[in-house]
Amino acid sequence: MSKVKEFAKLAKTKATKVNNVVHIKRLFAIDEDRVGGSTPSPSSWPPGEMEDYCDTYCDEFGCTYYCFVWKLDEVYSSILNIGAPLVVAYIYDAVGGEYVKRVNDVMLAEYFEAKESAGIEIAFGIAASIKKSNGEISFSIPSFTMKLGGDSHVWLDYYKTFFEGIDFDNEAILAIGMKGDFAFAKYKLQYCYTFLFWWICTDTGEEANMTLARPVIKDNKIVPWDDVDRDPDDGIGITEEVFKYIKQNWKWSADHTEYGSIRVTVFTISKEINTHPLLSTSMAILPILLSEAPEALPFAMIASATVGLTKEEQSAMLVECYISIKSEYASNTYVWANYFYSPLQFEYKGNKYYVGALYVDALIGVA
Amino acid sequence: MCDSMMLKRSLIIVLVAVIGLSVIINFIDILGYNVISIDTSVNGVEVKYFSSFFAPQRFKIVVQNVSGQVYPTTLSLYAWMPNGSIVELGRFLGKNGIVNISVTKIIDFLEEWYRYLVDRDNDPRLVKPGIIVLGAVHTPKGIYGVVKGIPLDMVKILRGASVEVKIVEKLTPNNLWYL
Repeated sequence: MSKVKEFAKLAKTKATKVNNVVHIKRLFAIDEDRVGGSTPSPSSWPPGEMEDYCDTYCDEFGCTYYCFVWKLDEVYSSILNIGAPLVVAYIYDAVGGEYVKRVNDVMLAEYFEAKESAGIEIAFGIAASIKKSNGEISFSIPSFTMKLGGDSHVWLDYYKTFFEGIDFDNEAILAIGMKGDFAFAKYKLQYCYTFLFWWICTDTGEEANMTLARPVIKDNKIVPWDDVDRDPDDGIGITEEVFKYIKQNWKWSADHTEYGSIRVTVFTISKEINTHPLLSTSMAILPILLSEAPEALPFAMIASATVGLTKEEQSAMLVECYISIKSEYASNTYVWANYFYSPLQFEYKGNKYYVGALYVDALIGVA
Repeated sequence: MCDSMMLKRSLIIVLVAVIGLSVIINFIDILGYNVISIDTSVNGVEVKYFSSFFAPQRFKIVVQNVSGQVYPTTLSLYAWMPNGSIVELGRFLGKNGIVNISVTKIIDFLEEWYRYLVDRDNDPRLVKPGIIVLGAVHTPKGIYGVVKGIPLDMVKILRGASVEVKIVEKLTPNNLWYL
């Protein structure tokens, strides 16, 4: 028997025993802006006069009028104005920090420009997981929480050079990013049917979880943010928590090893994991969400905020990590770098893509 | 007999007048209809902003499959407000896939964003906050899902532009929930 029929039968026989039943008189908003025409109302029973339903299921006992409708179930977390890392470099070695002292500097950069008349805007993606009643889960980027436009408008142009001996002198995690607002919410699909003068709704077991992200903007600019974690193993700090989560749970990129210096950009990621320009870089925000909502843990896959352009244009976007070794050591000191990308693919525009993160794990070694 | 013919004649004249007036109004409405812009940057979504000189401001969402077929569709609309709350803008039903949304709810949401942005020295023309749309499409084959985030041009809407959003959804086993 189909699910719809199951629901309809259940509704008829066990209306009061269905879990999470809610009674509401009016299921749909009155369209008060509509000019002319009457507004259908669920209270306009008997059914002969009733327009406000989606479908009917009839059997020998009569007909059930029903709709499936989404409802916000819970906002687990909504955090405002907090720094989130977009580019991260973990600088370390295997000899207790001796080789890290050979690093001259680490330059992290982020640049986003809108060219709206050419269709290029900066977009902040929604990450969603949809759990069906059979337990199957699908992941997708169903589009955007916000877009930033304008013509030749530079929204973010920020870089920071972290010098060895000044900003760090041993293993460290360095980060730049932006201030943002983040939220995590759950929606449930309900089966709603009419009973006398009421709509009765019950959960179907289908649910959608969504991570929302947007930047904090002031004076028409995204507010930048940076951080240095000089003790990467003490378990304290957003940057450390975020980086370690990604390092342990996301996929590692191919190895990138260079003597003297190394440069990894968003274009490296885009090309290597063959992803959409909107999804090539992201901010991992699970620790931020978990600080308020431990319930978010099972949905860690979507605790990532993608930021990118609505159309590919290299001159309008740059996210970069550049690590250089002091000139006297350049010939025999290498940087072995990897970045990370999502363990599963997300559906976007009918195709499936990995989401990248320019979080660079940089081991300094000597040949 | 004569009275009856007079009555019939009067009715025909009234009918013709009503039809004629309706045609004229529609014609004038078409003349006053002006597409301001069309945004297709969102996956499977076309957002058309238009002005209609003789009609009140409208906000309509049409949900159809790739071959243009429409079905009874419920849409639940949510907005992420500047203060971090997620508010319901309403649950709406379109029996033929055409869902008329309360434009006052959309305007309230955008006005709050407008004030918030201006208070922080931002140009609201550059920022497009989105509405979150979750839908259920009731087809003879089953119930299909629609989940979209749709950024809106707040200045155009606050200046009175009407909006028609067309969501073209592939009704595939991926988004089929109930048979």
